[in-house]
Parts: sequence; C-alpha cells; structure tokens
Amino acid sequence: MFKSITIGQFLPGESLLHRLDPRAKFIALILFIGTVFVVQTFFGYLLLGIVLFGLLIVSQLPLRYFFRGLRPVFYITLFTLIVHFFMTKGGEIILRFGPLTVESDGVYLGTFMALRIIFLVICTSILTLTTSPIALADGLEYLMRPLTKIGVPSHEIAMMMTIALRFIPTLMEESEKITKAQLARGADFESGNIFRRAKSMVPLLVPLFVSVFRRADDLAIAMEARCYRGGKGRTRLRELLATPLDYFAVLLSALFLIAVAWSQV
Amino acid sequence: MLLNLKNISYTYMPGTPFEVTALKNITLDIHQGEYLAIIGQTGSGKSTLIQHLNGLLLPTTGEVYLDGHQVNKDKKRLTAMRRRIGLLFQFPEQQLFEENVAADVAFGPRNLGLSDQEIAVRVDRALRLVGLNPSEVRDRSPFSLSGGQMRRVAMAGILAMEPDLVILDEPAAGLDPRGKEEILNRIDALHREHKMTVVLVSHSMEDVASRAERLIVLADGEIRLAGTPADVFQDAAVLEELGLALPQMTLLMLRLRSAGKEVPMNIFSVEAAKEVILQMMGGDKS
Ligand SMILES: Nc1ncnc2c1ncn2[C@@H]1O[C@H](COP(=O)(O)OP(=O)(O)OP(=O)(O)O)[C@@H](O)[C@H]1O
Ligand SMILES: [Mg+2]
Repeated sequence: MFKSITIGQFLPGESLLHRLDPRAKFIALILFIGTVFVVQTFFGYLLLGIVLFGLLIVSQLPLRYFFRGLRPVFYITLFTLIVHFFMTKGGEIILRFGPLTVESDGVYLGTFMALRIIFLVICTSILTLTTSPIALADGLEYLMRPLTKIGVPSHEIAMMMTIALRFIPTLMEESEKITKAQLARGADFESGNIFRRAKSMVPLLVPLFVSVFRRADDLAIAMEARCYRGGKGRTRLRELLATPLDYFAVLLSALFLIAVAWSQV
Repeated sequence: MLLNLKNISYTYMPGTPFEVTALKNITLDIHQGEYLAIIGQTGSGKSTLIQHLNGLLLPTTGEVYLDGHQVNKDKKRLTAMRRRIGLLFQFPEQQLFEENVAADVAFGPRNLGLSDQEIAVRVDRALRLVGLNPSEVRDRSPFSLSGGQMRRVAMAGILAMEPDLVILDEPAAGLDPRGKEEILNRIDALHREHKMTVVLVSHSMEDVASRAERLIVLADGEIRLAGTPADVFQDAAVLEELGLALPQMTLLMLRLRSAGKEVPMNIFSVEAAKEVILQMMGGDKS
C-alpha cells in the first residue's frame, strides 16, 4: 500500500547532480523555489519547465519512475484546480452548470496554482532523489549552524531528521510484514463500517508501536554505548567539501532567479 | 493434491529501479499429508515462495491452484484460502498484540467466526501442542514472555485455526540449540500424530534432513534440486556451490563412499551411522 510513494526516496547514482555538495543543492533549491514564486506568466513557467527538464536529464533519473512518483501530487493538484474553477469568480463566464459557473479568472488562477504546486514538488523531488538522507541532514545542519547562536539546536534537529529518514523504509517494511502476518491469521482490514475498520487496525498498530519503541530503545543504547553526547565538539567522518563546481551551481541558480524575476516585471 | 504452482514468477516493485525478480518459473505440487522442506540461502526467495501458497502474494506470471481451482484476486476466495492454510512468518513473535496469551491465540479462530466455547477449547489445545501449559500462560501478557515462548504462542495462534496445511518460515531461527530441537520435534509430532501437511522453510540441511520427506532447494529464485533428502544430498557438488552445508552424517557417509564402501545415504543421526559402521566393520572382518 506504500509502494507508490517515491517522495523522499533516494536513488543512488553518479550523475553531476548526485555529486554536488548537499549545501549547494539546498541553496539552489531555495533559489529555485524563489523562482517558482516570482514567475507571473505562462511563458515564465515554460522557461522554468525547460530548465527543470534539463536538470532531470542531467540527473540521469529514470523519467518514468520520476513522473510516476508525482502521481499522488497530481491528484492534489487536480483538486486545487477544480476548487479554483468553481470558486474563484471574475472575468467572463466560460461554462455554466445550473447555479455553478466557471469564470475565466478561476481558470487562469487555478492553472497557475496547479503549475506552482507541481513545479515546487519537481524541484524538491530532484533534490531528494539525488541526495542521500545523510548528506541532506549534514547539509542542513551546516546551513543551520548560524542559528545555534540564537539557541536553535541545529545538530539535534539534523540528527532527528537523519534518524527519522533512516527509519521510514524500515517501518514501512515492518508494517507490511505485520499486515501480512495478521492477514494470514484471517484478519479482515477492509470490510465493515468505519468503527469496525478502525478497530481492525489494532492488531496492526500495537505490534508496530511495540517495535518502534523497542527500536528507539536499542538505538539510544547503541548511541550511548558509543559515547554520543550531542553536537558539541563532534568531528565528522565525511567532511563537506565545496568545489568550484558547487559555487558555480549556486551562482547559476541565482542568476536564473534574477533573470526570471527581471523578465516578469 | 492440495496445491499446485504452475510456472510462477514474481517480481517485486516492477517498473522501478528497485525491481527484483525473486522467483523464476517455479513449478511445485504440494500433496495432502506430506512434509516438505524448502531450503535455500538468504535471499533465494523462500519467503516469497511460501507467500504464494496462501495467496498473500499473487504471481506476476503463472498460476496457483488450490484443490484444482485457480487462485485469483477474488477477496472472498483469498480470505477463505488464508483460513485453510496457516502461515507462520519469520520471527512471528512480532505479530503478538493482545493483552493476554489466550486472547492472542484466539485471534485467528475468532476471525473464523467460531463460538466462544469452541475457541476456548482450541486455544487450550493449541497451547498444549506447542508445549505450553495453558493454565500457566493463558492470562499472562505476551510481551512478558521470553523470545522462545513468544514464538510458541505465535505458533499456537496459527495451529488454533486448525489449518489443512501449515507453513513455517524458519521457525527455529535465533533459538538456542535446545529450543530449536524442541520446536522442530513439536512440528514432527504434528505431522506424524495429527497428520498435518507441513511445509518447513529453513537454511539448515541439518535441521530438516532427518525430518522432511521431500526437499526442494531454491537458489536465486529457481528450484535447483528436488527429491527425498537422501537423493538431494547425492548432489554434494551443487549444494556446495550454493553454499549449503551438508549434514555431518551425510559428509561422513560420502567420505566412506569415496573410500569405496557401500553405505546408504539416508543416515542422518549418530546412532544410525554407528549401526552402519559397525555393520561395515563386521562385514570387513568376515
Ligand atoms: N518486500 C520486498 N520488496 C522488495 N524486494 C524484496 C521484498 N522482499 C524480498 N525481496 C527481495 O526478493 C528476494 C528474495 O527474498 P526472500 O525474502 O524471499 O528471501 P529468503 O529466501 O526468504 O531469504 P531469508 O533466508 O533471508 O529469509 C531478495 O533478493 C529480496 O531482496
Ligand atoms: Mg525469508
């Protein structure tokens, strides 16, 4: 049941995008998100679309897999689109269903919003698909470091993120296994009204919680046994090293943002 | 014939970069009343294969027949199938969830829609079958038991459904030698005394050699060898190539054979080997 979720998934590879420093990719992502928000015209989106498609090609990600992973987002987008079509008023009336009307401003705004969501997800997916969770957390920790001065526990946040990301696949695997084990005992998760169905989840949730707590406990002991005591004075195995290429990537993204912003005024 | 698998293949996550073909063109029949063991290394597809036997997985290509009827996506038929074929997963202690042992063992029978009376009888019977004393463990929390006891409770949960066929995925994994011996002997007893059809998954030849009537050896999702244990062990070279260690006594018999002695291959215990060797020595003397 979790098979179609690819958001947050990492696909190991050797492409240029895979090799970039995670910090550079993070900054570039923020710049790209900025670009998505400054775009005001469909021409701007066309430009952005071409650039993102270019990045996808460079990343060597399998296209079919990439777009299939976007499918859940597509449904959310479709919903936004429909809401806008019927709720946003203004401009000419294009269609009329009894008391409901679709007006041109709604179509325009709806399409715009839908494109915005899709582009945001594409940008983010390119980052997560080409960056290992550990690298992501390392990059984030580094970028948040200035915030430690005002009391933000940047190391702890990054550590929590790493652990959470690390355990998502494990938990999915586990929940699939437990579901199957209970199905083998004749459990029925799908019939009956909502209360019966909620109750039928108990044989699934109890073992899952037990296992989560056990894992958390094991992990805490394992970390303590290796003298983990937070971020202070901690050195790392893999130092992040920015190369000229990383600076170049950030520079290009910034230039792209400026160019797009300029073309839109 | 209870179950037939015809040319089944199974692919995990097809169409993604993580695609794995775990089973390739497997054909297998399971007969009423037999004791079949499935052997193979880690990742050879054993767990994937047995999930086809009770409809938890449907083959990507190929067909599965239960009593001659093809198994398909039909929800009702699948549920009915799962109720007739008990499957105990690897590390089944993870599936316990009720507040006490009796309630947990009763989960399966309750799903069968049996009466409370019948359920209580079955729970006690199943607990005894796995070597637990019902009056001792019935009211304890399953989470307060030892690992080995939890595993037995999980096994009782399957047996209480009184399936026609019970499939056990590495029931002895991670137990100490005595616990292992004990659980395997319990399964033997189920087969011999209760005429239960048993499919046992293992990666240890030693465990199944003397117990199973038929063996299939899985490697990379394909059946490499099949037959009685004695037959299969003749192919020592193939087994070695697959990284499966032969039972000690079989190694001994093979050594004797290569030294030119006429010894049978179906010797799996020290006692039986002793008999054979004494006989052989007596024969030599005369
Ligand atoms: N849920 C899954 N998703 C993707 N691939 C899987 C899944 N389960 C198993 N596989 C893959 O299928 C192959 C066969 O796995 P399977 O679990 O059937 O092996 P096994 O013989 O039971 O091994 P073990 O002795 O370790 O239990 C392996 O390559 C495994 O990586
Ligand atoms: Mg397995």
